[in-house]
Amino acid sequence: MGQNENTRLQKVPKRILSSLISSVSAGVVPRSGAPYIAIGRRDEISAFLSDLELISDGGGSMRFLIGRYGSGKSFLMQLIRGYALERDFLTADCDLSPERRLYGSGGNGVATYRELMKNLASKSSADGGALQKIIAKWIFQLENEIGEDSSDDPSKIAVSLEKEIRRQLSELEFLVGGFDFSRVIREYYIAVRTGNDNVAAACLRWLRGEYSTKTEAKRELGFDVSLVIGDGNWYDFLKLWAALSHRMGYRGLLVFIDECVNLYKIPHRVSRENNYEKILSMFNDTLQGRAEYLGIVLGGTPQFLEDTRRGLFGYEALRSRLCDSRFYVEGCKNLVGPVIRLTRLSDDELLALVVRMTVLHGQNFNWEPRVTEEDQLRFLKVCLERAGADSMITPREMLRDYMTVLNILMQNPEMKFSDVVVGGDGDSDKSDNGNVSAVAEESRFDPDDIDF
Amino acid sequence: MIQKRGGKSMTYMKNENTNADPEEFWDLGIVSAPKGRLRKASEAHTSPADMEIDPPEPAISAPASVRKRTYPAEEKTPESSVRRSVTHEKMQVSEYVPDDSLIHNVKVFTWHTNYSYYEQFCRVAARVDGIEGKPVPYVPFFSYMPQYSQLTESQFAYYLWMREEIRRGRAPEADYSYILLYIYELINLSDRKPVREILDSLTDIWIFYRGQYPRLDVQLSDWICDFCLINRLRPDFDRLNTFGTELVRSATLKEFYVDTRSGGDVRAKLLMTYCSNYDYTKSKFATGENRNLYVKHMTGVVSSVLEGAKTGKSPVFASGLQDSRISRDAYTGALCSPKIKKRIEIEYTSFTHSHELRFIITDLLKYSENRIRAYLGIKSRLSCSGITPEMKTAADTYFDEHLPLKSRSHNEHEIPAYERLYEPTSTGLSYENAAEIEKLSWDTTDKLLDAFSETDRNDLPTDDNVVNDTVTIIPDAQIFGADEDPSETEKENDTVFTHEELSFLVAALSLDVIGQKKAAESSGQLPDAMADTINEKSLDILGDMVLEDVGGSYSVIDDYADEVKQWIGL
Repeated sequence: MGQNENTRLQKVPKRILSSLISSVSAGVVPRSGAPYIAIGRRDEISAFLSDLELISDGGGSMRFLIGRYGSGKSFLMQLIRGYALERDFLTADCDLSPERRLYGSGGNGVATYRELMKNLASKSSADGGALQKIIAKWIFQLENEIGEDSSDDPSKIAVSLEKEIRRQLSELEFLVGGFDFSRVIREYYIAVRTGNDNVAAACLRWLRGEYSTKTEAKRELGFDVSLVIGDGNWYDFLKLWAALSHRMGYRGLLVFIDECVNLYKIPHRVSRENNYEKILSMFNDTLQGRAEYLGIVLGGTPQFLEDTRRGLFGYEALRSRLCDSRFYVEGCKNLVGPVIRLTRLSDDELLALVVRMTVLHGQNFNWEPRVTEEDQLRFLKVCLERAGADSMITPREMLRDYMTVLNILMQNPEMKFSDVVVGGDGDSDKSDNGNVSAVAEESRFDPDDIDF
Repeated sequence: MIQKRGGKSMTYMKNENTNADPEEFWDLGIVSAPKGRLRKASEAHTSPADMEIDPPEPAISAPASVRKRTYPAEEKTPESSVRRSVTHEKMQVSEYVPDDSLIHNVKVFTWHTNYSYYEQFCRVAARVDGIEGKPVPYVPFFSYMPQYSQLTESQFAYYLWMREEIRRGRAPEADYSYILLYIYELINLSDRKPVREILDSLTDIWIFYRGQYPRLDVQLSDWICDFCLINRLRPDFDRLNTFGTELVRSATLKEFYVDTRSGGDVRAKLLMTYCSNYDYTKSKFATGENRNLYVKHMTGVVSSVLEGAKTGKSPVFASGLQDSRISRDAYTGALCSPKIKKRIEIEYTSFTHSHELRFIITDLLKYSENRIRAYLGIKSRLSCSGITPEMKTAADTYFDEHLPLKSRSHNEHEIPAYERLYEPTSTGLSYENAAEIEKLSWDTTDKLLDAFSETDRNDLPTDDNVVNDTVTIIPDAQIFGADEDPSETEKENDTVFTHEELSFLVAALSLDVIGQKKAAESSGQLPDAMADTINEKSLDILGDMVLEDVGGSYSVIDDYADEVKQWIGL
């Protein structure tokens, strides 16, 4: 690799690089460090970045990120999430499941909200759990602003602060649930200032949607609330958070909801369509300007979107909004529309990924990988030669295998690349189908070797 | 008020009767029975007495010589004879085994009570049977138990005309009471007229008027059943099968109306309707264009299995059907003389009371529906774990012939059209292309990592507004890789930590919770806010956070402990 690339690599923080290598080796999407392996996807990333500009200007956006399993949906989401956090957005993400849906009468809807709140992240709390911190930070900022304008008298500052909080939150009261939302945040501030930990904790619980009845909430909060966050209104509170995030000084709120195929799998048609109705409501709100500073990204499989019996295209209101125009030309990219279709990375892009991971691995473990360009090419050919690989191969599996190869080479200095990876050059024995792990038998630990 | 008691009149006085002795009013001896004198038992009997009442003469009466049918001369009972109801032992009249029926054995007994109050009706019926009716205007008539004696002259004339029309195969307007009267007439003439003709007439009435009077289904289904059983007749299935499954819906003895000689369809439908816990017509998939498919093949498979049972090719119902025995009173609810009325004991093969057969049919229907769903590509299935292998084979045989499944290979290769939108573009494999892609991807990485635009840089604190007691941190080259150029990072990463923040970092290094709180309070912040601020600054320096939440306090991440120590001068 050239000197330019080395210079760039040297900016990878140690912890991030270590976390990145660990995640890739385990076959999971890296929570941090994803930009360093963002190969390809330039157009898709540009589309998302333009959405973020729109959101920071007060607009809303909604994208459907559709691709097969292993095509890189979750990776792209993490990529954009990391970028948004760096850009002073708040993010919240969750994966849908049979227990977490967008709509449900048995707590399935509010379970999604709770997961989102649990994973609410900011730049300095990138791993989630930022709810408490962002409120604290906001209050501190207000205190600073008031302290500059008024005298040093703490009591006057406290009164002014409360007034300022009330004023800022009053702008939210016209939104659904805004009145109670403002009241709870105000009371949280008062509880923190007076050292009332119980009420402070209760306020946080209310904001996270952990109360199921108003009675329970009232008992613990110590004041009346007209509603609790539940299945029917959690989305309204998401809009409130987006509006509040801007007032707190952030650029907006970005929500990532992955594994939407779980909605497709709902067997009961009415229940499934209720969830799709929720998606339609989100779509209309964001694109019609009724959800300021809010961006939503839904990740799902092609069946979730395109199945005309059970997918989104089976719900006419969504189909008419999301389907391709009749002038759409197959094979052409159109990233202006709400649907972003992810195809598998091309063979060259996969090879580029292998090249990148080689360098990062060497950087992390501080060693020079004994891998040539031909070796990298051969490795990829071995992967692509497997039956069904042309459509089924995923970067996840391929990188996990490659990390295994590099780890073996690193821990066994006497071994060569060709000893670990057999095949891919047309002359090798293909009886094991180029299986990387089969060759590692030679270096596998044998308990009989222990000499007592 | 006057009361006669024992021949003595008693007068209870009202105020206006001034001749009576007022004291007698209180005399209870007047109202009590005389003592010492027993009353003789009344000799009057309460048995019914016959009263001869001739029906009115019709307006137009046929000559006595006109007869449509010949009957035995009626017997005239002596006038003013009094008959009493007598209970006697029932006597078996006949016993036989019907052919081709689910009925195994029929025993007919005489009626156990001999009453006479309908005898006159029978005599009149015999007399008027031969009278030909003439066209007359319609006259309404209503009676709960219609008899000739209740008819007026014009009603009787209309009755005769109605009867004439029915005999000719037409259905004139008729009140229900007229129809009942005719039915009673037919039933009570069963010992005087050919029974086949009576059955034909009853069938005609049923067919003509069941639409107008649905109650006929309830009554005639049982009366015709009784009539046939008593007289060893087989119902006219050719005409009655047009009723479909409604034929047996109201019948008490449903098995009587199962035509075992007919094709399997009728029997199949009866079994599916009356001997199953599962109604396929209510399936949510049996709608629209699939409905005909369901009807055709559900009936077909049951018919096929029934036919197979007949020829011994399929196992089935032999074990499922159970014999039952019932006793029934013939012509219940009808006006019937005791000579006609009978008691019938029936042994039959029951499918309505056969629980095992019910389960068999239910499982068969569910299994068949699963086959139809598989054909239609519907994945959900009904549970039918109780179906026997023999039954399954019989059903499979039918469906393999009439509704074979689409070949699996065809289904597997059928990929939805939209999948091709997600196929990768084939560009071949070239290291040069890959290297170029990898090089260009750094632009994307830079774009993603670049947290500040020009505008943002202007917001960073400058030297003018830095507080005197803050410390400027210049990152050390050891933070990054070995070949680091510190000057470049210096330019980009000059940041200011306040003394309170440095104190917080000191406390975080030693996990000093109180120290962290003090440091935060000294700058008027909450610990969370201070940690947040420090992390934001460290992101600018290191590209990563240095503090992590450890549950109530903050700790320095191990990877950056050395760097933090450098910042605080340790």
